[in-house]
Amino acid sequence: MEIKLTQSGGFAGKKMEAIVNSKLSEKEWDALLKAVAKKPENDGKAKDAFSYTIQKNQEDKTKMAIDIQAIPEIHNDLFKKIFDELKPVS
Amino acid sequence: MFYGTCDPKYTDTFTSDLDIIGHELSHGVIDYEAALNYENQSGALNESYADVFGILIKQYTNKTSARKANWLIGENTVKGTNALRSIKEPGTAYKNDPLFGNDPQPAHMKDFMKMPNTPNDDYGGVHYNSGIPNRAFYIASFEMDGNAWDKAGVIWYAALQDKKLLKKTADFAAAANETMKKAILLFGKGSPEFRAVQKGWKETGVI
Repeated sequence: MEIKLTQSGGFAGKKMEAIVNSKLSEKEWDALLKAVAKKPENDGKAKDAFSYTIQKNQEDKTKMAIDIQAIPEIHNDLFKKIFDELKPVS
Repeated sequence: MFYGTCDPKYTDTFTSDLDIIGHELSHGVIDYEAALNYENQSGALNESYADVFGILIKQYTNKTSARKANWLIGENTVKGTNALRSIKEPGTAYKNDPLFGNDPQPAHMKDFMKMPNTPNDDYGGVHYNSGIPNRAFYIASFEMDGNAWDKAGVIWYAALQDKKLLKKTADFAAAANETMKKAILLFGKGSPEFRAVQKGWKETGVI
């Protein structure tokens, strides 16, 4: 399964994206989304903070705002790979 | 306050520039004073005020006058390019950078970037359109000559403190009116300081 992460905001306000292939099953993907979905109380507009969205495939319209602090430990390697792949969107 | 983790491929730590530290600390001051909404033009004003105070802290520390300063934000932070932003000439901080491309900041209202008010679009481009009020401040400071913190900075801060006139939803035109009013109050109608502030907002197409 292809996963696309978009990072926006930050001091520079520069959008960055990463697309990686993962071995997540649909069930694991659904569980991941449930775990990282941004809670409304954490949706404040912190100045210069990064915002993240995740989607399953590039064409997937169900882009979801996520809280990266909530990423389950089991997915640490996957997200390390994703963050390593982040590149600025020109 | 947010400095953020840097990506060592592209940037040094965001604490390597005094203006960035000043910018982040100033967000606290801005929130306490006018609490400008962090979206669209009020958000861009919020960002601009943080840039202005950040650069003033750097210029004051280095004792650099308005005309001698380079007005660059984050010049030590970004690897292989000029800086993150230019208050003097928004849109020129980096050019043809292999990773970042060209600096997209507008310097005039005719180039204002209409972006959706979503987290993915920088809440309506708060870090982009801040270039317009940033340049207005630079022009005002340059015209006043001397140190930017002595007069222009005082006028900008006085405007920020007036919650009745500079509301949370203030746009660039409101900031222009407010800073011109404060210039009159502090230095007199028809004073060189008032004319300098007026010139800044006129040359950026805000008024």
